[in-house]
Amino acid sequence: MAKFSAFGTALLCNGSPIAQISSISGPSLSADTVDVTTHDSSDAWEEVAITILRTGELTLELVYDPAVHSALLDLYENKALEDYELQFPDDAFTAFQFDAYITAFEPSAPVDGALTASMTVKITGVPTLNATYTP
Amino acid sequence: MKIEEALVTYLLAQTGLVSKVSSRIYAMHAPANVKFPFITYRRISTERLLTHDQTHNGLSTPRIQFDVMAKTYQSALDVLEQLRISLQGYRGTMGGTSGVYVGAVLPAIEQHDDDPDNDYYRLTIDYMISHEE
Repeated sequence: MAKFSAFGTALLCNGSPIAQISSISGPSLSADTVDVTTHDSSDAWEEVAITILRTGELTLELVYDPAVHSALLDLYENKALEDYELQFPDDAFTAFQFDAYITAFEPSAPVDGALTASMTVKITGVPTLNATYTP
Repeated sequence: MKIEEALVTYLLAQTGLVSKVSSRIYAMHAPANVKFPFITYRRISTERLLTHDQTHNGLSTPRIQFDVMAKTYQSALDVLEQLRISLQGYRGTMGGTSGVYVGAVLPAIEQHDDDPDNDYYRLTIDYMISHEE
């Protein structure tokens, strides 16, 4: 089993890498469940059934360059549904592909730190979680 | 141009500071028999902002420590004040047109000390200098 450094992970929007990403978290995939426990459930152990598969969100930390990242704010303002691809730096070149909206963008400017921004991308529809990309 | 080189070029162009120490600004240590007052500087640490598309360029923030050495406490304070006026809050290009763009110079620790055996005063101040490299 291989181990990989996270350095080089990329998020592409419509085929173009989003620049100066310092951290990516997500997508926070999760499944909704409904309790189907009954009086005759074995030994009174809880039973559940899965209902909705939640696509979740990605949260990005950016070293914010207002000129470079203005296109992302345009997408936010236009409520634009775009194609995204999260590329992992593994030797199989694994990627997640999905459609998503930008749902949050929050610049941060501490006096003793760098100009950064936090951005949230919300997935909608069926993602492809076993795609590959050509490096 | 490296930030140390740009920094010294910038400081030697500050008339208030030069009036106190002339060109006596040295890396690491001063030469033997140097005239007081004088300044030495050294890089204590370097923080680099990392991104997934990191190249050899980027934002670097070295912590540069300055030691002001003087024969009287008042003289040391005067030099330190000129250093503060020259550096604190500075934003611009250091080292001339082909120099280094500095985004911020912010103060960190400041410490005053003396060495009675050798009869001088030593004032230390660190500055965080954010620049493109």
